[in-house]
Amino acid sequence: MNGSGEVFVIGGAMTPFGKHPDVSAEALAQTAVLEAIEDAGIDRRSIEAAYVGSVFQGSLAGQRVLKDLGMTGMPIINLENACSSGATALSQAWLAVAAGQVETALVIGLEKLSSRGSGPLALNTGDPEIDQGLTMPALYAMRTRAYFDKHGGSIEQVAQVTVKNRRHAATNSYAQFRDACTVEQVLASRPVADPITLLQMCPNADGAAAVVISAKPKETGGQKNVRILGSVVASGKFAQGYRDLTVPDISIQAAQRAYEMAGIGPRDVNLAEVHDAAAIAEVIYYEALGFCEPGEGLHFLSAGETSIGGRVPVNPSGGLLCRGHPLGATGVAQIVEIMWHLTGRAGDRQVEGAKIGLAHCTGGGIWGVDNGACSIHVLGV
Amino acid sequence: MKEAVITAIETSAKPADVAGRATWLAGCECGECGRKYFPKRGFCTECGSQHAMRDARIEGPGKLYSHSIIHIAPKTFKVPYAVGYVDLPGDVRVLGQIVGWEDGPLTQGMEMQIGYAPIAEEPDGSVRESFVFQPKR
Repeated sequence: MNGSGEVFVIGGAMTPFGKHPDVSAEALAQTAVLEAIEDAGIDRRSIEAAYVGSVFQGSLAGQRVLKDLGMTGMPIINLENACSSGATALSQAWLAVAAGQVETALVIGLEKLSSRGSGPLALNTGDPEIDQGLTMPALYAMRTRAYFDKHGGSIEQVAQVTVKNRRHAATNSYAQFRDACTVEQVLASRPVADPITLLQMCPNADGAAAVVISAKPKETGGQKNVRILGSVVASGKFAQGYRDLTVPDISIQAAQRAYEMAGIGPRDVNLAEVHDAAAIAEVIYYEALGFCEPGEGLHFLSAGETSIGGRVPVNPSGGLLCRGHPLGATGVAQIVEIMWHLTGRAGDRQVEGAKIGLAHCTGGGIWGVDNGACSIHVLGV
Repeated sequence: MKEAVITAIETSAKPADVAGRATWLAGCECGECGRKYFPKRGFCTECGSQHAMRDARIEGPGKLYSHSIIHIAPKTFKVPYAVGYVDLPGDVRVLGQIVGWEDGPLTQGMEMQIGYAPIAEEPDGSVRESFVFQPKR
């Protein structure tokens, strides 16, 4: 670890993710903040700084959330890093605590997307690929085809990611989609960008999540304390030339740094929350995160290795595919989910005996880079 | 003291500047390291040269790397339509719409020619024209 001291996740909470048209983004975030503080068992006045991740919530999102809770005066840092905004906020908060600038910090991720209409989110204009008609699902579709061309496989196998994550989400009341589904249903859903159908893409959502981190461990009365073992943010490398769409350099680089910082390897990870914005993405990330060899992802999935009970359960929450993806909130919600598992509080979907969890968030489609921003955190007890 | 000036690092966001509307794209090449780009840019991301860029033709045909048929898109684009990454000679990958995709399967490695066609209708009703790719069947 770069900093001087250990950093603990002493509390966390999230709102149910879904369509909440009648609730403001601020109210969603306030709900998560108050529950996270209660979970941490501290007085709100002991929080010395807040780091707030969101994408479309406008200027001073954090101040708008915290002023109504009487939590202003401290530094409030608002961050935007596309799908990794919340995770980037955590990484910056971790740095402040690890360096000793503050003892206890609050991290918030929030987003309200239902007010932006349905369908794929409008991407930045002025991007040469978007001007040609590229959409995010089409980019994932091209990754899917490139994967088949390189390693073989079928869309039926890829659809198993959605089936598995729906199974995981069945008892997760924070997830938007909890009904079981079959491969046939996934493939019969509305075509979005061939070969990707609607149920292979994560839904938009409204939601918020918050965690409290501190240099001071939680007074738990025997409960385990969750430590941040690694915290990394990476940006995608610009390249004009030919690139392999099945090898996400940004996630690979971030994972290597996170493992090194944590002093572990991929085989030490007991569960992972990864950025399954599309079904194919989860398969590609098994390989990028080192859970299996390149080209083995589909087999690793069908063998049940990433199901709860398998070698490394991936997205026990149901992931973005089931929870939904309120951009800024996702990275923080992943941390809350992992905290629940590491402290034995995940209920029916508990990954038994989990000691190390990894959270991976990546995204932001801009021309010339694999992804705009990626963040990985390793937590342990 | 150095004079205060703004050095614009220009990156052309408009790829539709196809000279002759024909078989090549108007790109650029770094005079220092030889890296080719499309669309044009002023700063070389490979070697860091700032004043070495010169115009260069990015010639076709190229090879299709991957593609998708899009069914849900912003209103400016008429669905369904195809997009694909085409690897042009000289290590230049370009994303463009693919015309003639209805006439047969698209496969990786397929030879793609550069063409020119309408690709979208702007909100004001005008037509957006651009380079496109077409399978050489």
